[in-house]
Amino acid sequence: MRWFKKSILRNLFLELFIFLALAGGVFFYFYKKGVDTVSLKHVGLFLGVFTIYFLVIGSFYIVKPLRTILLQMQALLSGKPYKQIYTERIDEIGILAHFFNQVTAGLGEASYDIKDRERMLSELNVAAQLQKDILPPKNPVVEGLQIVAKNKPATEVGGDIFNFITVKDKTYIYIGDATGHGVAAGLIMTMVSTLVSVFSGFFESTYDILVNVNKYVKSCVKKAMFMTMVMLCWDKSTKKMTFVGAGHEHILVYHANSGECEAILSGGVAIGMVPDNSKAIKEQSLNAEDGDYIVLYSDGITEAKNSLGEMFGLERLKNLVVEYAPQYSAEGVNYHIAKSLVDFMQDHSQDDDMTLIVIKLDKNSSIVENPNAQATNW
Amino acid sequence: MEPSLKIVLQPVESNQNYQVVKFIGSLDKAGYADVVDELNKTIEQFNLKFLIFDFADLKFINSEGIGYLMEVHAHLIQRDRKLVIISPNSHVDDVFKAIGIHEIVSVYADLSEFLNSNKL
Repeated sequence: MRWFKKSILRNLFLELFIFLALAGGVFFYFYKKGVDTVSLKHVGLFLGVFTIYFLVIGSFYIVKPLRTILLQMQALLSGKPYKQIYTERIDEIGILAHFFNQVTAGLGEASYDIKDRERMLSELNVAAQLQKDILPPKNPVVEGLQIVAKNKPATEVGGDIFNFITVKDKTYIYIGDATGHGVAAGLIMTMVSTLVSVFSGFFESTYDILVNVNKYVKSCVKKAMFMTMVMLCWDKSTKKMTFVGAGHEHILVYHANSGECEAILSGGVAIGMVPDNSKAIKEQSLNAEDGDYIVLYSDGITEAKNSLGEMFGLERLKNLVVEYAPQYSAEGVNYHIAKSLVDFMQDHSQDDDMTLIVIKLDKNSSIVENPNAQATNW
Repeated sequence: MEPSLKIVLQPVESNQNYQVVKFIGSLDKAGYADVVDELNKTIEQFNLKFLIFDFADLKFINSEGIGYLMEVHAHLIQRDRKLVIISPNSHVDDVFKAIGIHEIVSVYADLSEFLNSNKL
């Protein structure tokens, strides 16, 4: 019987066979009763019953279930609500209904995934926007300095941070790089940014600011997360620059008189590595005079790779500073280093956040020529 | 695809209270992903005094690699064990010096220097 149920055609043949067997039985009965002639009326009656029987069978067995499936398919294709089709049939219509149920179940899961992904992307965009709002949108105007910073995160949410905070005669300029990049790095970056902003109003030295930032960060973050940082302090009254390093990259100082570029180890221990960094960091003066350049960068610059897997490297960066510093303002030096970096990377993807800050000690406080240089986005 | 980092566990002799794990390749995000399961298993099962990471063949390390080292260091300290690093090349040692790893983890030029310093 199952063999018949697996095919509509076979099932119809079975129905036909049963109907003809019944009809044969009726004819045999009348034949036995001595009825040997059949009137046209009886033939017509037989054909009428035969037609009605198969119309009813066709309607309930084929047309109605097929119509149900087609209606649900139309609803699916036109984006309207659709339902699963429940049937115990195992013939072609049963297979069609089962196929529809499978497809719509898969679509439902995919649709949930898409919605979930859209939600996460939307939240990431909010996080990225919040982070952009934390970073200064424009380069500052500081008496005695030209400052041009550019930043390019590798993902929606980056781990690089920089800012300029002026309190009375002092201007703090800092750059930081959280472990890795992405949301976790972005959260550390946000935390450090907030703490530095608050503490720069409380404490009068760069050293005290970073000791206290470290103390709070260490008590809050997971052990594997930390942030390297270097903070400069420019005192416009004394025209002196000092710095405190917390495990960040070198500070490059281009001496205009000698035409040499010095790479100074920033020293110290990264923020969040030890509970108390007061013995590990120290405030040092930076030997830079009027006309000299100071370059701060994140490791996304020196560790940028080209298609051959070569790294941009510190030496290349130093050579570019030596090449461009005698020719250009801070804006020009930043622009040409960024351009050389892009040329070097060619089609290779950006693996890490990139931040480049070029500062020129300029007692005349020359105004930056290009208004676009005021924007900090790369 | 060739993994960007491999680790090799050196055999431990019966009277030894240290285990040497040799790193070959680059300890960055991709390298870390290549070895994380094997390394975590090694660290969980580690029951000697010193876990020595031999970086003689480690070509590159970035901040994510350093982050992982800090995690291992903290994990071992909690269990009264110690992480030691030996034979970093100049690039890796520059990164260590820049970030301040020397202040936290003991770094030696080679295994014999470690053994002599600790009278092992």
